[in-house]
Amino acid sequence: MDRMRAYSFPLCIVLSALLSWAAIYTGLWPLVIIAGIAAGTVTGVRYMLAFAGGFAGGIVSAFIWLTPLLTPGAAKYVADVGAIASIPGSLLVFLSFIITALYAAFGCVIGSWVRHYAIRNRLTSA
Amino acid sequence: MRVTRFAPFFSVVIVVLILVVSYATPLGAILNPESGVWQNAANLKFSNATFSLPGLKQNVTVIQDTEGVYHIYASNNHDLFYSLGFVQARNRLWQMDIFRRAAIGQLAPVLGAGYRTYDSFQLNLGLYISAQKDWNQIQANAATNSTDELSVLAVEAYSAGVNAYINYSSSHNDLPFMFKLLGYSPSPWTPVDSYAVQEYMIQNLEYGSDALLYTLLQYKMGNATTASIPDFSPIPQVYYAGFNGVPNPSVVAEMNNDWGINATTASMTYSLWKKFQGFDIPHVFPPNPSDHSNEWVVAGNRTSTGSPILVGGPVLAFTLPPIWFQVQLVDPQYDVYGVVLPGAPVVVIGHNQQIAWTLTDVQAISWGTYFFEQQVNATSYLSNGTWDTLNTYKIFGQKFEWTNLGPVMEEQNGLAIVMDWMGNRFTNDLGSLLLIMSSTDWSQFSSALTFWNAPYQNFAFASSSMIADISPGYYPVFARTGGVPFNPGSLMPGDGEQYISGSIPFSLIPQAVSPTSGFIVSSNQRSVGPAYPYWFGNTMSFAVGSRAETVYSYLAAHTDVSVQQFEQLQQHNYTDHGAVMSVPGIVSLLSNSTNGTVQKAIGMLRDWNFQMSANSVAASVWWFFYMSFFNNTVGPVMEKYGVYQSYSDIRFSGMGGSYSGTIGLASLDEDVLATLAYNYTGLITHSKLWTVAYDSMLGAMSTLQKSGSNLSWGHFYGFYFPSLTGVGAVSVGPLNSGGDYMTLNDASGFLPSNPATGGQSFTYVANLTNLSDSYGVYPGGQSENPASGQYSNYVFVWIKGDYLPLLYFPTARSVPHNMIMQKWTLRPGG
Repeated sequence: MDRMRAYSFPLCIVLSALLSWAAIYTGLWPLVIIAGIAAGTVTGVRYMLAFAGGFAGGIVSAFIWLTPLLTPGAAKYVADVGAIASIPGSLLVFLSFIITALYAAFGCVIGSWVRHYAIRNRLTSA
Repeated sequence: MRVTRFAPFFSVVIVVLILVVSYATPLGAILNPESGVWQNAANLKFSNATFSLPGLKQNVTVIQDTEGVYHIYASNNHDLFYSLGFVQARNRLWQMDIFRRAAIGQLAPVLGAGYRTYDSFQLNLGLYISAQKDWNQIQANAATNSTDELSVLAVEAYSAGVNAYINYSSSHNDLPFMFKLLGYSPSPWTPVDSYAVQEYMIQNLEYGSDALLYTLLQYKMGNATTASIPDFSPIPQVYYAGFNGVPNPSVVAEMNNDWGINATTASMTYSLWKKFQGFDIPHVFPPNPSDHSNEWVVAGNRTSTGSPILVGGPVLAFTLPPIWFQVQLVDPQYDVYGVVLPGAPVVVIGHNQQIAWTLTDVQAISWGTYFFEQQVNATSYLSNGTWDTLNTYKIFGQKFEWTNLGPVMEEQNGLAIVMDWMGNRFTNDLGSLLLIMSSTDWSQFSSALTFWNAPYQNFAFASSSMIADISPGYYPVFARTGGVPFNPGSLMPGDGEQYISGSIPFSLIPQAVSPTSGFIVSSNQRSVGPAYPYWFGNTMSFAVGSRAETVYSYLAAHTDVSVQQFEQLQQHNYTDHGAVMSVPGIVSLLSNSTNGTVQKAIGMLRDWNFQMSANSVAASVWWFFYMSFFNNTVGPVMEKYGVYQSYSDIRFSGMGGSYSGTIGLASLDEDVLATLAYNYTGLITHSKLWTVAYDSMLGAMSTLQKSGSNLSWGHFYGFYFPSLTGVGAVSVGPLNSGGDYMTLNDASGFLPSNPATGGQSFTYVANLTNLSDSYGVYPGGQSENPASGQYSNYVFVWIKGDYLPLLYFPTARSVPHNMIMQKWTLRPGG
């Protein structure tokens, strides 16, 4: 059991990253929340660790998605898009990462709660 | 502990908040890592690719050469135009969408409520209605008319190609990022959209409110109007199609027979004129410069190559992405190279293996836009003594009414101003250009132009053995029951008394074929002289003629001209012909002044070579003197007759309205030049000339001295290339340059408040000895993506006055490997 707990947090990060990557792949960005919930439910880490694990997993998945798009003109592209959108381009990139991470992180917290709620209910009913 | 306990609840709340913020705004769509704007960064890479596309019949090879030009090699016409649609959409889809929206008045739904006025005005003009009518008529005639049949094939295939890209990019989350930023998707491209683009170009090139302005001036100035707006130019002109001589008396009688109006009509006219100016429109696509294009064509006996050389420089508004897209189209019927418009599957300017052609605006006959006053009520209009029912069109939820003459533009107390615009008559310009693209000689070329009704364009032509120029179009001939027709360049009665009785026959439209001079120059100057037997407009619409004079003088003096010399003439000759005419007289006039400032100015002008070079201070002195002299002569006239007092938005300035917040009028620039050069007395009497010139010179020097230490002309003049998005960060310029309104590479403007935003939009020199040895460049780039290296790369070639080789490859295999940037294979499938 202790051994399982020791692996829960890294597992939470890995699961969050993998499932978030898959969620982004569908094109439905908010599915990252479901990915986080799934990772949180499976690992059942404490809320603070769930948040941290989901956040890290979300960052990793966004990084995996956006890295291949780095081309020689990408920095200028980001700046130009930002100029047209009246938001600094770097802030747009930051928001893309942070929203993905927050989706996964809060999803993970919810998932962790779901697991604890389910266990408590099972114990209560038992 | 308490925080931890409520963490799941907070998580749900925060997630919901993020979702609401993301999807109530475009942020969610923009930032999505999989489908947001980031994916478009991948387009910045150049790579060979294969696309499986539904509807394609056979494989097509597309090669983008190292200059950025696309060469499309297909096996049949359908695939050729399909591929053009696909390739153009891949580079310019958002621009194409904005073009069609600008044409049919649908900008507000994507750009905001600020465009509602613009949209309503566009819809009222009739572009959408006419585009639909054009397409319906072409479809109906396709079974019996081979040109219309070809048009249907080309436009439908092109539309399918555009839609193939829309589907491809949608499914690959690769729609241009502007769609994502604005939160909408493009609707499928239709043939009507291509004809709407045709209509939009007619509007850009042959449409205007000169007749309204003339009506207002005539109302205030009466018979004195003729002195300010002469029938024919008071300065010498190059009439490329001849008809020099005594003015035709019946035409003169018609031009000076203005229909009288009352105060109510004048009020309506001013209100409508202001709508045409678009004062309340935030940003128009594209803004419309006028008076500027150049073309000349020279026979082989006057060139160093021994064959004709054709030079084109059509002036249009600058935008990024620019209006042109450069391609070579090859299939069994076509082998043509040139520039195409966004949304139209035709090479507008270019060459094939046998001929080359280019265009300038005729600017004749009141821009093809005529206005009538007509009685109307809620349901009917009065014409020829009977009340007929108004035609009502409901478009995009708005209602528009037309009489027999055209759309009702302004209405007040049972009176309406109705517009008869030639752009609303049937024309199949796309069909004409499709025929021209495969023409091999003058006979085929001119025959193709019999289908061309609007806009009025001067088509310069060259083959290996001959040169020509022709100005096709539907030029109406006016008649009046029981008398001399009223001036069609002014408001006319719409009760049926005045009417269009026909048009100038094709054989008599302005044209010149292999003239003995060995060259033809057409730079928006009046193409026919005063002896022409038809009304062709007054001095309001035609260019001043200075650019034509500059080229004419050069060609008359040179008999062995090379391609490179023509490039120099087109892009590096900054001769201001107005200065050539006027400055010697000014120097002579003011040489007896004892004022030190005036003497200093005169000294600079005396040594000046009339070149508006960027490093010339004398050029600045001339320009500011001219502008000051213009104000000091025109202003008092307008005030004397109450024009400025009654109409606060009518303010003229010289050089085509180079000062911000003013308008230009060629007639007045010609008056001022004629006053300076030939003692013309239309504006001021000869006795006042010295005083006005003296005051103007002092005024000019005072303005210059207040401008800082850098007085060279390049400090005051430059070109600006605005992004279609309207965002400065992705615009280019102003880039300082030589030139002004009266030089060849020209535009109205003045830094910093009013930079020139138009100019020669495609500088083109076609060498008929070897068309592969032709040169050209347009200021812009092939891609609409601001981060692309091909977004504005041509701007920096153009601004230096350089050219790019127009690489012409007959087959895909003939393209050298080291000249291929990327190669695509389009194959049937999908």
